[in-house]
Amino acid sequence: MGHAKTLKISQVTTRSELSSTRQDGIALLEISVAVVVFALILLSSLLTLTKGVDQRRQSFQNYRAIHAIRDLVADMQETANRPLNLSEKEGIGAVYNKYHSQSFAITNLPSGQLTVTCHPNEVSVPGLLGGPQDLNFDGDALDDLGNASAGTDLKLVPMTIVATYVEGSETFSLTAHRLVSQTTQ
Amino acid sequence: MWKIRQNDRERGLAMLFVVVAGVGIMALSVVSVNLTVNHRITHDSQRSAFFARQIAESGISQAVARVRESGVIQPHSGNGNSASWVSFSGGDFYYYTTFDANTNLSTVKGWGRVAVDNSPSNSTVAPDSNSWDGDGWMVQGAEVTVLSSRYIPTSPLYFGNGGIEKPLGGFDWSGGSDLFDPATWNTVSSGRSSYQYSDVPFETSALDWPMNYIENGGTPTPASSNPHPYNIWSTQNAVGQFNVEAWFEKSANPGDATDGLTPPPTNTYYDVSDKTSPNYPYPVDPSIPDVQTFAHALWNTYKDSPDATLLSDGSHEGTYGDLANPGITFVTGELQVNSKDTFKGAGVLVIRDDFDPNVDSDNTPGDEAKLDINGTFEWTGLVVIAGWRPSIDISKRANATIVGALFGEDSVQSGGEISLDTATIILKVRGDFEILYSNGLFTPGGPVHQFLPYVNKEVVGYRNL
Repeated sequence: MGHAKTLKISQVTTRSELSSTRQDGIALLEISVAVVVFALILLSSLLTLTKGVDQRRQSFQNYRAIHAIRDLVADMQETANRPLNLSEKEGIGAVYNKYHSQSFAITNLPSGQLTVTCHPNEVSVPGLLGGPQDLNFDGDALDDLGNASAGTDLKLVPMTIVATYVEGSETFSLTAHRLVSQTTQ
Repeated sequence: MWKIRQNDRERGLAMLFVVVAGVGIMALSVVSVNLTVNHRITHDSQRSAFFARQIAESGISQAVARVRESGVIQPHSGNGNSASWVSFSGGDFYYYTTFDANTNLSTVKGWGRVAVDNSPSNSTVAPDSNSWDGDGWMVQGAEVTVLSSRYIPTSPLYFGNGGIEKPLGGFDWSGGSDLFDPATWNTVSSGRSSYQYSDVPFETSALDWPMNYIENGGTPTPASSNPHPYNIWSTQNAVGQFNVEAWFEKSANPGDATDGLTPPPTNTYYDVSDKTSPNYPYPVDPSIPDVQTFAHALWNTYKDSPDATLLSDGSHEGTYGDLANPGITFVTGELQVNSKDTFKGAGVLVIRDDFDPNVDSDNTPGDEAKLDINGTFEWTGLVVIAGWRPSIDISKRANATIVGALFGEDSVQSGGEISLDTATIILKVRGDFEILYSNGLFTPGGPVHQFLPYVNKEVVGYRNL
């Protein structure tokens, strides 16, 4: 009898403990859900932040590429504005000879490089650059001014400048098209 | 047993913490997303602005080049009678030019635009027009001011790029010729195109002769010592210089480069030690305008003037102006002066082909620019010969005198295939030919100064629009 009473009490205690354990289990589930939700929010937030940082870095690299293209165009304009001096490759007539198919490193961009392509053949100036186009102002668009015999007759130089750089495993590029002429006497 | 929470209060606090932290992070995410979106918009705008700027500057480069090189006074974008948007680099450019004759200033207004919307407006007018609709476009613009000034000749002879067409010892193409490396240049050893007979040397004087020398005779101002104020012959590049030197050194009396030249091209009068010096007797001066531009500018300015005389291709004689009444005379095609005839005048004589850059798209002329003298030719002022395959031929019976200066054609705008060895002028001198420089004709107040075109062009102002 005493044993049975004890057993009953024990059963009651066990029920109470079971109740308490059930309560603790729900709390744990709540915490787990909360932690998961919290982690998801945190993760998405971090992803957003990371993506934002990446995008800003790409934008920054893009600005650097734009800046590099502007710098190169300014150099070309400087060359174009100097008096024609064939041996020193100066003057508007020397722009093609000096810059065509040349590559220039962009020092502050990872694997950054500028590549210049001039289009001296009036007939095959790409349509994107307004071709065919009269580049020596002789009234037609028929001359190939890339020939060695006519290279200094370019008065308007169409060109494509491509800036490329590597970000991680991806290669980015920025392409600009320009016409350059002499602006000084 | 491990317990997380002891009571509802703690549970509430925990929930509150989760909610606050969650909301905070959510807010951070929203801000971050917002920043990223804004940054993306800024990035796209910067990129579009960059491309629009490149397009605008490309259009303006074309405009300035046309002002400088083609003799077109007020260029505008497009091929029509008024400016239009021209497709370029994924966008369009538009420019137009105004010219103020009082200040000699050309003002080019140019814009570049790129679409930033799927359906941008189809506006066809300039962005400074009241009816411009800029919806859906990123537009960048600039205004460039170009100052024009007259070029005053400072030597009796100026031929453009290649100087003379293939004199003996002059420039000739070979397979390995590189214009940028004189060491690779081939020389003409046979089949010369230009020459002078040794018994009638080409007489060129860089002294300052009286402007009325033809009527009254007289002597020039004595030569001043090094540096002499006037050069014997100016060219635009090293190839021209090479040809001119060959002409004097080898064409007439081989080995005597001083024959027929006053003052002699020696170090008494010129700096002969440095070919790049402006005091060299045959200097390279790339700042000199293209002769063809000179001719086109004169044509644009005076072709409709009642003061201009327009002569057609063929034989001519007579008098066309004098020092008291100088004028401008155009010959379109060949000017022939027959034996026993005299052609004389004062002012500016332009012998041109029939290509007009304002209206013609085919630059192959029907009438080529030639000066063919068999009789007497006397001109006081400036003689310009410019066009496709131009030539000067002084026959053995001829007697030709120019007091002032002679400008010859260069390659630019000459038509046909462009190359330096054919972008010159053929010069055959078999009879008496004197070219006597006279500075007073060209300087302000001189009888020819008023006719000198505004061919020196320089960008003197730039501002963003």
